[in-house]
Amino acid sequence: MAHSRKATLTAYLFLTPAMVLLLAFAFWPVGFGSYIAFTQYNLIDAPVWVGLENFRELFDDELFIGSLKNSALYLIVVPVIQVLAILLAVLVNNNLPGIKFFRAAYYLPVVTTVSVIGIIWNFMYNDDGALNAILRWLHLINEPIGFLTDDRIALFAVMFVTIWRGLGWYMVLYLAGLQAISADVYEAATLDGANAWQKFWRITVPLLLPTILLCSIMSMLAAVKAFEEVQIMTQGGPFQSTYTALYYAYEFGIKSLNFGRALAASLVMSVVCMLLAWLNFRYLQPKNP
Amino acid sequence: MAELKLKNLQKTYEDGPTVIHGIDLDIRDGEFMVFVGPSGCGKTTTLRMIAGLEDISGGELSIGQRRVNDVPAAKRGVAMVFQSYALYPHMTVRENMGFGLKLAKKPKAEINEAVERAAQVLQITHLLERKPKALSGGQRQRVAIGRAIVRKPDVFLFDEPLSNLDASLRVQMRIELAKLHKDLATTMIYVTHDQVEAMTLGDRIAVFNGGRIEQVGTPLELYQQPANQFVAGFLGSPKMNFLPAQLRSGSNSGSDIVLAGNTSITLPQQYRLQSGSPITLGVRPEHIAWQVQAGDNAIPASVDLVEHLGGEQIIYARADGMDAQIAFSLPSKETAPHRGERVWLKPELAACHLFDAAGLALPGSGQPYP
Repeated sequence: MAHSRKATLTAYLFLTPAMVLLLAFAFWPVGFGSYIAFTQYNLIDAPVWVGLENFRELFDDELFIGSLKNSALYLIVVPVIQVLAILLAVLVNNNLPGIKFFRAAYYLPVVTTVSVIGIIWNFMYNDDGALNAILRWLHLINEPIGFLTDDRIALFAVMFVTIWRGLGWYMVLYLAGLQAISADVYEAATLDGANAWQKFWRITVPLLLPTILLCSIMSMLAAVKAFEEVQIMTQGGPFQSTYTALYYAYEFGIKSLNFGRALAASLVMSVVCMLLAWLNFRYLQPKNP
Repeated sequence: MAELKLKNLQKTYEDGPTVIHGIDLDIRDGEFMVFVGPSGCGKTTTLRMIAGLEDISGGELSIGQRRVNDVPAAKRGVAMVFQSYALYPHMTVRENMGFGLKLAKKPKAEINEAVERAAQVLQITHLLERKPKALSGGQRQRVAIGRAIVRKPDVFLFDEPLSNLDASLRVQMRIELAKLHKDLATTMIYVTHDQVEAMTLGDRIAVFNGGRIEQVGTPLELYQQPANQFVAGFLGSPKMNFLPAQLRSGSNSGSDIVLAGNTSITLPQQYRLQSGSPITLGVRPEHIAWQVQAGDNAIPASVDLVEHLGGEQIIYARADGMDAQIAFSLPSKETAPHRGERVWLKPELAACHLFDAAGLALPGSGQPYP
């Protein structure tokens, strides 16, 4: 009995450093932030409890509803990035000459600072930038397209950068998933008469489901929390067409010091994130035998 | 059912070495042929070339009357059981077994009937709705065999199918495979490095070494009349003892040989070799008797170790003037010498083998054991 208690105590002692860090940098901020969502707080005065007032104001604010819609629209990147990453992973999983270069090249945007990426893509999207130049050279357009200045397409232009930036990361995850599938299984399928498409659809995709689940949750959460690209490339414009929910929280919190409203928006997004994660587990988790 | 013909079959990897150096082999219809050999000898590569999983670099492969060098794997009429089982982890046993027929767009009822018939033969009907991870190693192996049976192939290919099983399950599955071969009467090719599997399962055995076949024959032929030192040493456990020697002279009554420790032995056969030629005397452990006194054709030695295996005892002794250790076996009820005891070992002369300097069996050496 005494030995068992000592073992338990030892286990808790070993857990303590991690628990302290978690408490300080995860649980406490979440708890405190959730509390602030129900208060009026500007960093200077003490928080004043206002109940659900922040949430009422939030859902009365057209800008927040618009930014929620934009965040929902941003979820388009999820299927696009997943399909592209799987195809890319299948491609670079082959032992072709020079394939290591391509693997590294596709991964490069992942390790590049987002501010650098933002600046590069600002140049690319510019009226005189590379994209417009190519389209003009192909005689597809006469006038330059305002990728970041036209409110109908700016959000999609930003989304494209998110896809470009994240593709390499998901490709590597899928590559690891692919390499965990035994070659014997494909050989058995060959002997069973499966062609390349049947092998992909009936063997690769089902066996990649755990990776698809992981990547899907990660990319959904990243999409809902899209912020850096917006902040660097458009600052929510033009005409607030690229406002995402997190950018809204940033604007109200950091810029306007209305932390109650900002954290109420963040809390709403947290609930949305949890809901999305639950949906992923519900529909993508492989069934047990 | 089908016979196979391998004519000068070769495998060379792109920018790499040649691993199969021209194999000629005829496998009869309904035969159980075992490919045996050490790791890297080319037995699995040959099997994979037959399966269509490896390209054939040279030579010709026929299954039935058809040349199949360029025929896709699925259309060769072969089914393969892999060492790792290679079951589809996301499918149930039923789906695993019926996958090939499903891809061939067979009607559902036909697939179910075929799967259930195979499951009955292998006694896995109660496992049909489970997934592979809910099965034991032995059950997985049965499913892998079932998947092969369902396809009704002309030729079954087995790539070391029992090597992942524990010893007792391996024996059980070995018996079941032999029974399955009798029931199905289909051509089977079985790759193993386990000589016991080879000896017990094969109608004939092909012994591979360095990308070539050293010898093909029935298990007893290979055991009693090995064509060379490699085959003699590979089959049998403990392996055949090889003692360096010289041929002294031939007489009408036999051949005198002198072992490294200056012991003379007179063999009953005559060999056409020059006197003084270096040779190797091969004698299996079960063909050596021991005594405590010197005598004719007896090799003086000291006992190093006695191993008790239950049914028999293996004794390892070091012969005078020789580096080689001599192993001999005795039934456990017989008295064995003690460790360190001085003994004289008497090979059974009619069961001795002689190999020339190149390791080839001398003509006349290696008769069926008395």
